Amino acid sequence: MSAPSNLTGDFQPPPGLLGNLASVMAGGAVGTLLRVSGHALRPQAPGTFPWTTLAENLLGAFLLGWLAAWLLARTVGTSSPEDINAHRLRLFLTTGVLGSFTTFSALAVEGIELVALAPGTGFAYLGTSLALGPLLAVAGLRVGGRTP
Amino acid sequence: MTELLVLALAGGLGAAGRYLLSRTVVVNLLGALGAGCMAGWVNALPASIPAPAWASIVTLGFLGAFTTYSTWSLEGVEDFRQGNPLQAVVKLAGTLTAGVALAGMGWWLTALIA
Repeated sequence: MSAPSNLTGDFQPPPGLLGNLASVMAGGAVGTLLRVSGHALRPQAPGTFPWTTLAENLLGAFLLGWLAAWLLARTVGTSSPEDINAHRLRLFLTTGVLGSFTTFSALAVEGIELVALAPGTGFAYLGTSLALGPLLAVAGLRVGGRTP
Repeated sequence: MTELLVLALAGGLGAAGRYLLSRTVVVNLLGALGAGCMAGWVNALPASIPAPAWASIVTLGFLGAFTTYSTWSLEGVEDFRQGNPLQAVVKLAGTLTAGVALAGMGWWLTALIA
């Protein structure tokens, strides 16, 4: 007969989807405001290289890699189960803030606009986004994975 | 101020939609198509009509947050680290190519209708 897992201290998946959704939504609101603030500070003229979107996307990719490795180093190999608040803080920061701070839809639209108007600039933008995002995510993983 | 709050709410809803679907490739392609449609529609408006506020709420708020570049990058890296470099390249380059094509298709379709 198996003991009820809530008495053994085994990891419990967060039972409340609504609480998880609220964490993601709150993070999404923060990430969106940060992304829009960046564009307010450094507006992009249509048809020019989208430096602001690129900078935000690359920063977000680095920070997500960093955070993923940092969180992994602190939850794997420890005996304490991740509690619901830690899970929701993680959702808030990763899926919420960083997921929404970065954007793929703007990248796609800016990409097709630029490819149509100035193909060289357009392909440079898409190529840079394709190559540097994963590279910065790796850099983030390396930095975040260093044990203090 | 009110517009910023609505923008934040739209971003929250976009992030929630992404969390519920939890398929990065799918949300990114859907979002790219949607943003292409929005851009084509706004572009097709007569110069005398300014783009309505809800257009940027949908594009910057909802679709901007619904789609994600950071998770797309990290998921590609994860495929590499798990020994699937081909899958990583296909996922990264394939999603970006398809996303740009879908954005162009959305643009072209709404420009045709508008």
